[in-house]
Amino acid sequence: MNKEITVAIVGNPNVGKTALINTLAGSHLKIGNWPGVTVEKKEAVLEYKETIIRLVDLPGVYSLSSTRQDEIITDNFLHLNKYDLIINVIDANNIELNLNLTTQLLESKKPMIMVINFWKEFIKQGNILYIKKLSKQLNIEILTAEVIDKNAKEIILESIYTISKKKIPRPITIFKKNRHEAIQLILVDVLHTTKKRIKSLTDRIDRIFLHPVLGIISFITIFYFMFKLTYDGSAPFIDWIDGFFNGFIRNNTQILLNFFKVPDVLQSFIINGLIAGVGTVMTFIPLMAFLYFFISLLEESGYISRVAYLLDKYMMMIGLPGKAFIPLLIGFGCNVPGVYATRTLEEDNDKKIVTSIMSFMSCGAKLPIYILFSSVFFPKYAGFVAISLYLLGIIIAIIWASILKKWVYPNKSESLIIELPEYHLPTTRVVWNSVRLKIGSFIHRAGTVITAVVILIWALTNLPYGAGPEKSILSNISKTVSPVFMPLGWGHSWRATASVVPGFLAKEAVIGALATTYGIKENHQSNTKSEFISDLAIQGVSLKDATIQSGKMIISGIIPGVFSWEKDNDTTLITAIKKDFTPLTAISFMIFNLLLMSCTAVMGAIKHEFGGKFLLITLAITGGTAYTISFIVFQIGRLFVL
Amino acid sequence: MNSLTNFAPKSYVNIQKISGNNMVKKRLSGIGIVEKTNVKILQNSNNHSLILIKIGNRRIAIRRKTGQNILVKQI
Repeated sequence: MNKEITVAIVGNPNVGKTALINTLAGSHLKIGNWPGVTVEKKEAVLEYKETIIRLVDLPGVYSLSSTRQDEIITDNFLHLNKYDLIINVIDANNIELNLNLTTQLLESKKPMIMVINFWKEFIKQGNILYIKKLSKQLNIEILTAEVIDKNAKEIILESIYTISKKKIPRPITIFKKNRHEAIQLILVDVLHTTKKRIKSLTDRIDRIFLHPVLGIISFITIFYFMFKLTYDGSAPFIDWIDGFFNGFIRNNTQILLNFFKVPDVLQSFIINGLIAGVGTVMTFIPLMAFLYFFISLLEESGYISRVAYLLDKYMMMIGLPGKAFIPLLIGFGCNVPGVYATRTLEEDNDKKIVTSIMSFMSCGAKLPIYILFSSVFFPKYAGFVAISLYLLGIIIAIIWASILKKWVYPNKSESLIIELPEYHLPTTRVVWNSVRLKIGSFIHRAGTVITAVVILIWALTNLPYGAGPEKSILSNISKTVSPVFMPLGWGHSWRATASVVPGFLAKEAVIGALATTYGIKENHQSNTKSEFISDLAIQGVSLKDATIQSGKMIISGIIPGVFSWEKDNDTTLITAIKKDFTPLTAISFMIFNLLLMSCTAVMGAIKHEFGGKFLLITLAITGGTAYTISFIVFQIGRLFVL
Repeated sequence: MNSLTNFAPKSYVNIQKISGNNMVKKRLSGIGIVEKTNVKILQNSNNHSLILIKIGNRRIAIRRKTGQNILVKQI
């Protein structure tokens, strides 16, 4: 049987822990759920010389002082969990500061390896560190590496393997003197740093990005292009996936089902339930991938913390620290990690305020709703409409944050510190892994909860079978409930009402639910003949065309007017939606979905972090706001439209 | 000795004393802001809620209110 060892990877923030785990584990990285303080932590499992090595990536901390929640998580893991070895990753350019944590880690019996990252830069600046002397003083093995370098993998794995085989506890090192004095004493003999005051590339870039005016202009420009490129670059792929599911898969499945003489009810279930529902959800993977790609680029480059610094002044106007911007930004991708990211805030009241307004940060799952409705009703201004919705969410969030800060959670924010790391060129591997994990999580959800919901909706819309959609179970339920939504403009459509319920389970399911309900309404013309191989070849060519189109769209997004692309958005779902909605009711529907609590997973996260009572409060805030704002927009809008 | 917040950008200072409650001191020492440390001030303006400093290669933004607890001497 293979031996299994657990390695805790510990270090200050931004020293390259995740990069190290990526280098060591490559594509084996996965998200693990942890008992106790349940938070998504990165864990990777790999095999080396018949030993299973489990790598645990703990939150970056400066010390184990347990004053902040991320420190508590790391501290608890190191004291309460079973592990065999510590890898302490440190930044060569900040050895003195990093050793503060190292000296605390040395006070345990666990074997430890120190990996000194950013070594080349350290040497390049003319600094000298006597590794053997330091190793002897600290009584641990020390490796120097560029953790993103593949050559580091073998050296570090071999070191883990060798030390784990020894099974000899390391003698505890206690620093009796003041910790900082002890560090100074250690370094006096081993570290010789250059006294040159060098202006680094980071300093030069920061002159623009942290400039009070240029910084804000850069921020707006970067985020505008991020969202624009996300829309433009993903559009051709969305159309391709749509055509693939609703054309190729649908037709060939139909032929196969006819050949085997599958009963009508089962055919309807497979074609209109499974394929239509799952296919529609899958069309939004390109959009998610593009969004996560850009967010990951910004995170990895070190820019996001600049934004936190830059926006602190403005966030303080509503009583929140600049740091609060980061969980809110993460919330644009998915609200669930956004809720957990509030742990990095120091004040409990700040955490509660940020969590309360998290649902107003339009998550990636809501984006498909805007894309669909805005491209149907405002084809020339789809991007503008979607950005306006994002802005509306932000404005509502600001209003609610101000209210909550003033009357409900009034204490003054005392957040002390934001660290601005050196700019790094994001590595392909780290960005790819980040996108892959998030998309994987989306597909997993699409494959489980969302598909289950879509199938449930199919059952509700088709049963009793043959009675017609207007007499289905869902229709009856939705028709009963829909008067509640009449003042919002879309209560007359039972399909719109029907999509709200699964939308509560997962916002991705709104479009899937609409597709399923409309799938019943419409009669799809299926081909009876199919040349499978030639059809498949056509799909391949279409994918190639979509890739070229995406490239052109991205370039045209950067240099307007270079290319133009005629969109063919007249898909089945779009045609159906046009019959049930007007531009005004579409806006009302989008606003309602924008401001409503994102999904059950977010509710779970809020309940876990703050308890059931607080969850009810946030549900009341989001639900009440969604209804009220949609009502106001529709009622005012109809005065001008009618 | 003077408060960190009184120095203009590009000043080099040495931390002489840190006042304030234990929690603040603990947080600051955890990130390496301790007595006898050399600091370069990168940004410091009354219009901004934060003061940006550089210790070693590390850029750290501290709330101005906290910065007032850090007493320094120009070097």
